[in-house]
Amino acid sequence: MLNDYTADIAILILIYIALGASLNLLMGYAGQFSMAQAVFYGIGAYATGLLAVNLGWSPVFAVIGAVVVSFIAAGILALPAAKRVSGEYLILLTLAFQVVVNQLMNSLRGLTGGPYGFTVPWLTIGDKDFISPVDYLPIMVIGCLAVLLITWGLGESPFGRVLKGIREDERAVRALGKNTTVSKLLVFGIASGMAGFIGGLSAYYYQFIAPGTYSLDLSIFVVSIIVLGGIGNLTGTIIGAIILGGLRPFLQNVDFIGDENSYPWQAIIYGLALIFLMMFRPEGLLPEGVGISSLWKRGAGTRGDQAIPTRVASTQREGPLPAPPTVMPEAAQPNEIVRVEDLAKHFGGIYAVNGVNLALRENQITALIGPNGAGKTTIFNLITGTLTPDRGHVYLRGKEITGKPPDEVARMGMARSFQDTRLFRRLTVLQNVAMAVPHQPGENVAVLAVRPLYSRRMEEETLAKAMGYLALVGMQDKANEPVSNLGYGEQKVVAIARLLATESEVLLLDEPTSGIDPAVLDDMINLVLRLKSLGRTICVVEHSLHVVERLADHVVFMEEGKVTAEGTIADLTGQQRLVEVYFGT
Amino acid sequence: MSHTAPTVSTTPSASARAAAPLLQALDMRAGYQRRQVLYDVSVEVDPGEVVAVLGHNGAGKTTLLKSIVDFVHASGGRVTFAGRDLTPVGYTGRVRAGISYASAEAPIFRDLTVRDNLELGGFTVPGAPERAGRMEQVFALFPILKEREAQLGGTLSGGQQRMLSLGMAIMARPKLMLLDEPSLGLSPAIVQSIFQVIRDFAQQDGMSVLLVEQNVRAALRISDRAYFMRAGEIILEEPAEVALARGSWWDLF
Repeated sequence: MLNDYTADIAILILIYIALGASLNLLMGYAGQFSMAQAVFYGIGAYATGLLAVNLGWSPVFAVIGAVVVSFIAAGILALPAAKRVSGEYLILLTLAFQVVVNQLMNSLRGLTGGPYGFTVPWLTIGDKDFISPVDYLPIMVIGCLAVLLITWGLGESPFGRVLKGIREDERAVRALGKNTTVSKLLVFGIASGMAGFIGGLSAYYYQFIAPGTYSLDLSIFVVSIIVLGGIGNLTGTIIGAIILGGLRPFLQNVDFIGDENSYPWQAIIYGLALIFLMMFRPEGLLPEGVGISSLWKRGAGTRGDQAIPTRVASTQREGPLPAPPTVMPEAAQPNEIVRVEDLAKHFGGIYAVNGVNLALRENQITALIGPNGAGKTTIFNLITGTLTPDRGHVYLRGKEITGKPPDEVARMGMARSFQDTRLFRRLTVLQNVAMAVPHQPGENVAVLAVRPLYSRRMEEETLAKAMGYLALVGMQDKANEPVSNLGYGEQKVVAIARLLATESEVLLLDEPTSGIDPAVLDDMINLVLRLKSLGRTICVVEHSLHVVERLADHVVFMEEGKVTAEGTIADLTGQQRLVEVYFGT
Repeated sequence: MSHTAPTVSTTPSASARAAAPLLQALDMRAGYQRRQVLYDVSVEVDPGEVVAVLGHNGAGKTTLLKSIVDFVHASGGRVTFAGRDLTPVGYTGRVRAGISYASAEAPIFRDLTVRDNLELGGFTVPGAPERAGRMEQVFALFPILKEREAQLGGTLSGGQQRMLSLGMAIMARPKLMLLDEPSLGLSPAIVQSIFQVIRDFAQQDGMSVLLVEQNVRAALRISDRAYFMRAGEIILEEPAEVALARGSWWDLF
């Protein structure tokens, strides 16, 4: 069975698996599309070949060199991607990179040998030569396993959790205090570095490098392996690579097809497979988080119970309390924690916020109210750095934070929730909350690589903390459910736990009670009051005055981008002018 | 019920109202994916009656209108209209039965002319002469639309677009008009005139109106009755003049 013919096919499939797995880290975990995987594979092969032939580097250093070169090349490509390019534009950008670099391989004859390529010496380690496919197979197996292990290890680490968060909702990740730019750059670099590594190994196997191998066709092929197997599922990628990579050799060995007819047959089967996949398994053979047994077990892999639970768990249960930040007991005139001066922002010709002064006082709940379009949510966006103000200043504990990005503001101690929860829907409740825990060593790839055990220990601590916050809001029983299985009211509560987990002292809540079951409204109000009792300084935007009345120590009335009145709710509702602003004339 | 609701009186036809309401929506439940917005909401509208639905942002007012015309599919409840059970009937069928809905967000076809918009508004009306007659009536109400009849809807000002959407609803001559925030983004003078048109139609043609409004006072002035909603429930129903006499409505919001 194992002869040079089968070993050659096996090596090819291993290469596909490794390319697919590394790209799946990028596509499946981080949600970043790339059409340039083949060219990074090629960059690795060329780098290895050139370093070995021209500079006489030993194989180990040549392959390491290949990894470094493709890592750096990917970093350069990803710079615009990490900042703002995404979606279709990222596909176009990587497509252009693929085509341009592939063309350069053709045209830089002096360096690459042009379309005819160049030869590479076979691999020699010690006095052992690795020439035949059977000899080389173990090397490829080890290389492929290494890629799978790294992909899996990164994917399941805190770093991988941040990647999944980026995929689900990048803005929400930033609002939790995570720097997504660095993570996106790194994942591009790592995925491409691994492709370069496999490229280096393949250069020694094929002993010949030419541009045709690293064409767009191969990039598309690798993407189709992932799509067939299931995006975000490594087992699926392995299966996809075996099916797609093994089809041609299989057809060539079927008697009535033979070598010359195998190509049209392959095209027909690809076409049919595509149609059936779209009809019956649009998420791929193995959707994310689904085991291989679902292929033969009926019904496995479908989503869990779809019933809508309408009751939020009681919030009265006691959980391990995280230490609240320093509390000032004297309530006479508490300290200003956040100070906003003359803040303004216009969109087109209209000022959404125009000269707002505002103070959030320590351990108080301040409510922003006012008619629609008064600029309340814009205030949140401005003071958390989601929007940059046209003028004015924001201070947090006396430090100016005006114009700082949202992740930095969150790390400095001010985090916000969103009106529509913005939870990471495909992650579990626990993972959602764990994402928000600050100072996780495992989010740093270097720490993961150098101190894996330490990272794991700290991850256990992170999960324990997250569990503590879930217990605090009474949701620990749902810790391992995907968020998408929860009722809306429960999702709102999880969003509060996630916000708490940032350990920020200032919490901005955007309509905490909107959309929840009136029967559990009291639970939510009590939960927000509980946050205050934990020493947090809170600001809410809330449309239900009934809720504001029960929550707020201080109410700020906004209209047309300005603060026009402040005081207790009774102070404000007593003013006839505000009646007219709020209820019309 | 966990929160303290002021005097709840949801008993239908307690006052001196007609025996058979035109619209009866009973125990409506609706929402978006996992988010339930309406919790057993019941409303009634009598023939020729103008009824306001008021309440804070996010209370479920718009969702109520949409579920009545099946633009948002209700997960529970019954809709009876002119003596007919419309619960199993879809959006199209309900419009044909005589309910029209003018949404707050996109009230008109921006890339069609004013005239084409009105023609589409009268899509369910059989007979060209009948449609032409109604269009003349719309033009008489809003002369500016006559001047702009060849202009694209999207080039009209906000106030003119509102008039056009109202004109489209009038073309259909519905038995019940559902109006979502007709005053949104309009100057007080235009609000006054549009609301007067609504009131006149109800009085002269016996058309019923269910009106969602932020401008509480203006809505109450042209309404016969009002429902107040909070957090997906109806917390109060009372005659509009009684509600208007309150002067301020903080406790209901």
